[in-house]
Amino acid sequence: MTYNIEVNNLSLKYKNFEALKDVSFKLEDGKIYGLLGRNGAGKTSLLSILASYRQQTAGSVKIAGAAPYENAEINQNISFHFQTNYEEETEKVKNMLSMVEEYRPNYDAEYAKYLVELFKLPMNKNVNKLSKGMQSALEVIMGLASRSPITIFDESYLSMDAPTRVKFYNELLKDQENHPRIFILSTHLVSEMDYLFDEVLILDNGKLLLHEDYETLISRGMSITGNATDVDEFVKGRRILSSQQLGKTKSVMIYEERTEKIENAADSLGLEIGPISLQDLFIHLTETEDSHESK
Amino acid sequence: MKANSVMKVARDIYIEQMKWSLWFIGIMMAVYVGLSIAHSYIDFSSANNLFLFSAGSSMIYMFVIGIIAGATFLPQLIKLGITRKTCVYSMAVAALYLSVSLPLIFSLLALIEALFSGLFQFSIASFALYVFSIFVMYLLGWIINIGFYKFNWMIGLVFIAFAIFIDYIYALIWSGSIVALYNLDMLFTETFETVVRYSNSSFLISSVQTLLLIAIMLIIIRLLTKNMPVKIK
Repeated sequence: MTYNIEVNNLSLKYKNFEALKDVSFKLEDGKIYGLLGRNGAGKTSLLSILASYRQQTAGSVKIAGAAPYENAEINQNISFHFQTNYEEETEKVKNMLSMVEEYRPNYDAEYAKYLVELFKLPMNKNVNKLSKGMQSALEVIMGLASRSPITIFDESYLSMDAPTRVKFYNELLKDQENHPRIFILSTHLVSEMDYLFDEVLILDNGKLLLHEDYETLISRGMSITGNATDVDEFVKGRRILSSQQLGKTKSVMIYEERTEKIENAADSLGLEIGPISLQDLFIHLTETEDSHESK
Repeated sequence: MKANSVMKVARDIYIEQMKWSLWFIGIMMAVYVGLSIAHSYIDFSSANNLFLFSAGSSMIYMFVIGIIAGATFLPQLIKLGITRKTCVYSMAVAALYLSVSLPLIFSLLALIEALFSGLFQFSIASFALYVFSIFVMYLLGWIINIGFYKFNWMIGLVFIAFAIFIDYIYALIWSGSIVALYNLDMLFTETFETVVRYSNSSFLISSVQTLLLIAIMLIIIRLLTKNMPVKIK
């Protein structure tokens, strides 16, 4: 059974606020999706609908061809992990894991054990006594070891320190290779996670701004580096995302398809063309959309 | 692939709540033994065994854990991929198990006590009323919790008023034998025959009415939780 996700014209309205507006996309089995958006863009609202935490106001969601809401068969195959408040969770780590084992059909106890050792999680400690970082580690261990066909991490790694996050990213890639599934990773940490994504979805003000292959997306922009005056001359009239200068050398990010014509033009001026980062692109795209909104 | 069944989830919830209940039972035993000792020195009326003594407290206890359970289990189980429907059914089944377990345990303790005192009063009617009363209280706590969880505090207060109303109806159902629900434990000092004699309606009719009230409460809970958003925190 493949757990493809199909979302059509999805909208979610709270009392006086439209959290999601007419969102449509398809996600395929075996890919890692990055869900980006600024605060309040609607990321968690979207994910909570996919995980049946709430119902949409309009539009449809289909997972494995059926509506997931209150569908026992589908729900047990969707894992949704977010920054959970464990202040009152007095259960021990090992009991939490055995609960997950009991309810998740694809749970791999051996793998969970390996992850517990990797993240140095104390099995006999009460969950509320763990540090925030450790609680995050527990959250991602539950998510990874469940091996659910659809696994969603909504910023659940924010409290982990940088080395632990890298461990998590490595594990995620490794396990995806052996047990492919749909991962949806929502994040603010664009610059350190971009290499994980097969495809990227950007939400802005409740609308789906874009859904594209990672490679295609970053080929939409480039960095031009070289002598400051030459660079300034070259980028005149183009959409500039950001610029940096060190002495006489300047580097400018522009938003434009990388074509042979541009490459030749830059070449003739002795300028170097480099890739743009997803982070820069994300900041630029959501900023311009913001200014459109306010007009 | 088989989905997680109601009975499996109910068993887990029941075990969890029994862990809480062991504390309650222990405390009730300690208080009862303490009062019994004091009774030899000071003259005051006290129920004559642990079964009767625990009834009122069990109702308050079940009311409180009904409030706690609503907020605890639903988000936890949804996170484990269980549907709302399975959640609610399982919680209701687990609450029923618990409502039978508590009087059963207190009856057994009363029986052990009777081995020493030689006094043991037991009737099916008082046992059934014990079960009904604590089950109803659990459901009332649960309904109030939903009111606060799903809506805001103002509507939550309306739910409290609603719970008091249901509570009143329940007291009315058994009004021949009890003045108010909170004096319910008075009933247990009577024997089955006196209950029947003093009741406006028969024990059987009151039982059927109670079951009907329970069914209505369960339907309300199911309807309220059917489309309830689960908070992310």
